[in-house]
Amino acid sequence: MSSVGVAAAHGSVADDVLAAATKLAAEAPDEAMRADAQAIVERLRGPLRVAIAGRVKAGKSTLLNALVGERLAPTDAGECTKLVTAYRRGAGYEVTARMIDGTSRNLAFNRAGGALSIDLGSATEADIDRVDVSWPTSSLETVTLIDTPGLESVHDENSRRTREFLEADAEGPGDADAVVYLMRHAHRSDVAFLDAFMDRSVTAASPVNAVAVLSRADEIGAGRLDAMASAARIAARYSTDPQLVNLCATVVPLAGLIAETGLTLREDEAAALRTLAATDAAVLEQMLMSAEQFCDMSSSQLTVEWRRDLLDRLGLFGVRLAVEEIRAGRATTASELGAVLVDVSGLQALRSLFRDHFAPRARVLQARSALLALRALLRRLPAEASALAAGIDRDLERIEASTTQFARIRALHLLGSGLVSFAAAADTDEVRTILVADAPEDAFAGSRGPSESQDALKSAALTAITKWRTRAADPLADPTTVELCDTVVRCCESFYAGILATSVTT
Amino acid sequence: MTDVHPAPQTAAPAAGQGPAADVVISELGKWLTREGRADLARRTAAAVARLRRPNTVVCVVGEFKQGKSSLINALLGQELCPVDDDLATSAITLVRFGDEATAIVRRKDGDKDVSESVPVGSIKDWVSEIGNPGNLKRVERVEMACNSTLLKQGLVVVDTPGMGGLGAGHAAATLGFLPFADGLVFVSDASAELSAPEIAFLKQARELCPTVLFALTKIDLYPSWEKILELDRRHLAEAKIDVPIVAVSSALRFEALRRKDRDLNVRSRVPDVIARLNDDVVQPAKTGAANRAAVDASGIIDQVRSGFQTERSLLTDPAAAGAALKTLEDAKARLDHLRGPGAKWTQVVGDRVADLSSDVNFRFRGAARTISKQMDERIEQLSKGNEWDDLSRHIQSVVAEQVTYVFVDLEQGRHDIRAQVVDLIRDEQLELAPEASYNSSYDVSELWQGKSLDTGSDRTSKRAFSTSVTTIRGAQGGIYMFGMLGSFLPTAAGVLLASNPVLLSVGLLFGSMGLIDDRKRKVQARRQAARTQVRQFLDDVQFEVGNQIANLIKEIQRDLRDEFGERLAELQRTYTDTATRAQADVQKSHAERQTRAGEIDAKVTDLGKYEAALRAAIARQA
Repeated sequence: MSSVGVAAAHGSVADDVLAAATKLAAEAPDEAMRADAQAIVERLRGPLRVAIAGRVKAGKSTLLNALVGERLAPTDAGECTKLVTAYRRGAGYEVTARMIDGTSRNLAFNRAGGALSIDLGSATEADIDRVDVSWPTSSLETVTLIDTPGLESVHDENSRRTREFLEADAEGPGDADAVVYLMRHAHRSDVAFLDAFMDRSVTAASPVNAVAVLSRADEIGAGRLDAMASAARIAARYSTDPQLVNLCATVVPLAGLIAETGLTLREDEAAALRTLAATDAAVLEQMLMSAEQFCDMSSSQLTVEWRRDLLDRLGLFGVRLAVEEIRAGRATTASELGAVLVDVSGLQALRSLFRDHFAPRARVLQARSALLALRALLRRLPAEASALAAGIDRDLERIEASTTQFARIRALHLLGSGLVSFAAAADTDEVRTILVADAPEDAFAGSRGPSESQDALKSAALTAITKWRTRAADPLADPTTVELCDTVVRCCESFYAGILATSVTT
Repeated sequence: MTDVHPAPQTAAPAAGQGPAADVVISELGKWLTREGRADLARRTAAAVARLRRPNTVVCVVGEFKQGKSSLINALLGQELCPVDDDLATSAITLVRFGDEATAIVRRKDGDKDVSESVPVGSIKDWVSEIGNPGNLKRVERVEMACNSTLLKQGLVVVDTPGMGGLGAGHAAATLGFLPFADGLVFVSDASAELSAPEIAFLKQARELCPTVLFALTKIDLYPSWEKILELDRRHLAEAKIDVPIVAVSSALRFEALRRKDRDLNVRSRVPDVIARLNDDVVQPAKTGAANRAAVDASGIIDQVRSGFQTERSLLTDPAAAGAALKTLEDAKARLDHLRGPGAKWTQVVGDRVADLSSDVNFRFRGAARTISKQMDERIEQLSKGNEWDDLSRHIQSVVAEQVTYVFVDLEQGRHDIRAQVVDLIRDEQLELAPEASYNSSYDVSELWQGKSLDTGSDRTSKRAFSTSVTTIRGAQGGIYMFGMLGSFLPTAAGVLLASNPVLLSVGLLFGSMGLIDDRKRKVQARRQAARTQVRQFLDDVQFEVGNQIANLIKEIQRDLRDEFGERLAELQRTYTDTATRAQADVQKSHAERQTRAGEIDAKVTDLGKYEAALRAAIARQA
């Protein structure tokens, strides 16, 4: 679903919300409220905030590392992430803890073992609300990634932090604009979480801001060489599962560890893999049978420490794949192997999902969560500021009513997910063109070519309005189809109004 | 004397090679019949049947996609249960011994139960999510036979649908099956430490079946499985769940079988699991059944013997007869009272059963109300046709789950009541002759509860049995009165109830609302109709389940009364016989008394021989 067009036109709604937030930040009666409003302003100005969530050990930190392209978040065999940690781009290296009591303090950290090791100092985890990591890397330029503790943890404390951080409640929306949800198989609790993450207040339930990742995909097929193909099939099935299709835009498979290591593979590791590949075939087959045998067998040139390292970095699937590639002569150096690993891992698909799904909508998604946050803030305004509250509330109402952007995003989802489909392919194309269009010319160009006169555009708009209004009134249409048609009509009407405005001025 | 009363020749143990316990007990039964104690002989027959019960049922449970079916295949050494990267098992599958591989699908067709033989290769069309989505084929369970040495001893392995999947009603079906299992294998893979829901499930499952083995699977794939094992161990310790843990790789086992590689087979650790399964689950279940039978039998022996011994002591000391007869009369009077309607234990049974009934009803009504509320919320958000289907699947699964809880609660309540009555009757001090020199005082609880054989005089372990339900499990296979469909196993509550006509009607619940009705203005009307139908459905379910509860409660009460009533009647019969004979003895001449004493001694010797043979048989088995 291409939606580049939606993005460009949507600066305005974000700007409107920003204006409302700035006003509140300036005029709110007390310090705390002003600070909260200022935070909303900052968020709107900053990059998109994407949370990475999932059950315990789904591979969230590994995915974060793969997206950043370096080993930043600590990972471990056991449950590891205990605090909500935001990784943002910054001028320097800095780790800040935001405490429960509202203060913040800088934390000492080091990267001795590759990943970031943060020293909480005198604070305990219970005192800390969340951790901010500021890191100078270009991969965090357009997006701030937020690592969260696993859900369904045996240590309920950790899971609770994530739920509080992400889930919308009466206090306001979650603190993320979008979520990448990791699951190993679609578990009932995964569905329940995605359901809770949906905020239903603006534009009704819609998965515009959630994508699901079938994580640790190499392990689903038991590390066989065809494991990723198997995972892709499963992901495709989940993408159309009626219980998931309403909750997330799509499901993609990803082998996070393979991606992370592919991006950071060192030359000495490649050399070790080459040594391994040179081992006698029969012995190698035995070695690659299980992790235990890989480390136990004595007939390889490679030291046991090296083998353990390789397993930690690549897993059994990664080692099998790398050895296969080397033996087939397809890749030998670290950069070649790394490219193969990244390619197989499914990271590209996830990145293009970020590029095509989140990035174009970033401003709208931010505006959407800012709008919800502002609403929540307004409810907390004291009685003496009621005039201010009413004013801003009116502004928000106007923003929401005047923009078709939220509705468009939802409509595109309805179309893209197959929840609504038209018998004629031409209808589907027409709807999509109108929904992604920035200007009347794009919407109604159709077969008539770009050199469209104002009158022809006007009549095209009117034709479309009539057509889709009739469709919306079809007594046999189901409610979602009606909703989609209504959105199309609204779009056409706004384009028509735009055409009239331009023809008056010219 | 042995020629007059044929002594149990079989009971003469020839250096460790005596008869098996079931032979001894059935001999004892014949002896009792000759003695005119048909009532006690009936009980020995039941004990023999229990001992010969051939099957030990082991359920493999856990979250979905953890490798349950693979583990079963690895244990059997055959690819029997369908395994797939994606598809999960959706129906309960029993695997038992058979000379050749067969598969029988038991399912509902309309209102009829259908059993049909299907090719073993096509089994995945019946038991997996893809072959049988949403259980449209209404499979209740699949029974497979396979020629595997593991199963030859009477082991039945049960593959269950995993917890946590998106399918409907699976958890309920599995949970409902657990009370029939002698042991559980809880499966979790080495990719991650245990999650909170897994711990919660393990806790719940252990309530229903306390013999559990934890299998950490897929260790071939994860280099740090030992660390995961350690973490799991810690989590279990924190949750106070004490179960043995084994690590296993099903993949290596198959590789080993393919290559006929003995060393690799050992590395797969499947032989370890088989050994642990045998030591920790199968043998305890078998000894449990044997112990219970032995306890039953030795209780009978004690009871009969103490009657004779009391008579014998009076024969040698006629002066004490008056006092002894009075004690006997007192005991008989107490028993009369106990058997009468005013006895405290009958009141306790009545009260507690009534409490149980209202607790269970209350809980179910509460659950139904919650379901009703949740359904209202969901209906409010529905719009499209296919979502209505989801809705009916959802309601079916949540209702089935609650219904299962009802029966689990009833079963647990029954155990509690029983334990309480045993305590009550024990407090009555019904020993026949407490002052008698021979240690004949027997523990009343042993008359009907399985404790280990040699705790006859150990009163400190008074409540030991109430926490170890295992020992009576094998015997009580039929406690779920509402279903004995299979040839060797009752159907699981969840499955059965999920195919109950009322519960099934939910599938048709929204059927009348065709897609053609999707007119916008009709949506509200549809929602209203759906709400009404949901309420109507829940009403029907409550009525049906309420009836079931009432019937079960009646049966529980009747069973408890019958059971204790019979035991008390046996005891009273022993007292009465003893008193009658003792009174007759008083009238006899000295010579006659001598003869009588000889007869009694012979009988007591016989009983002693049976007892010794039984002890030897049990000791050999253990």
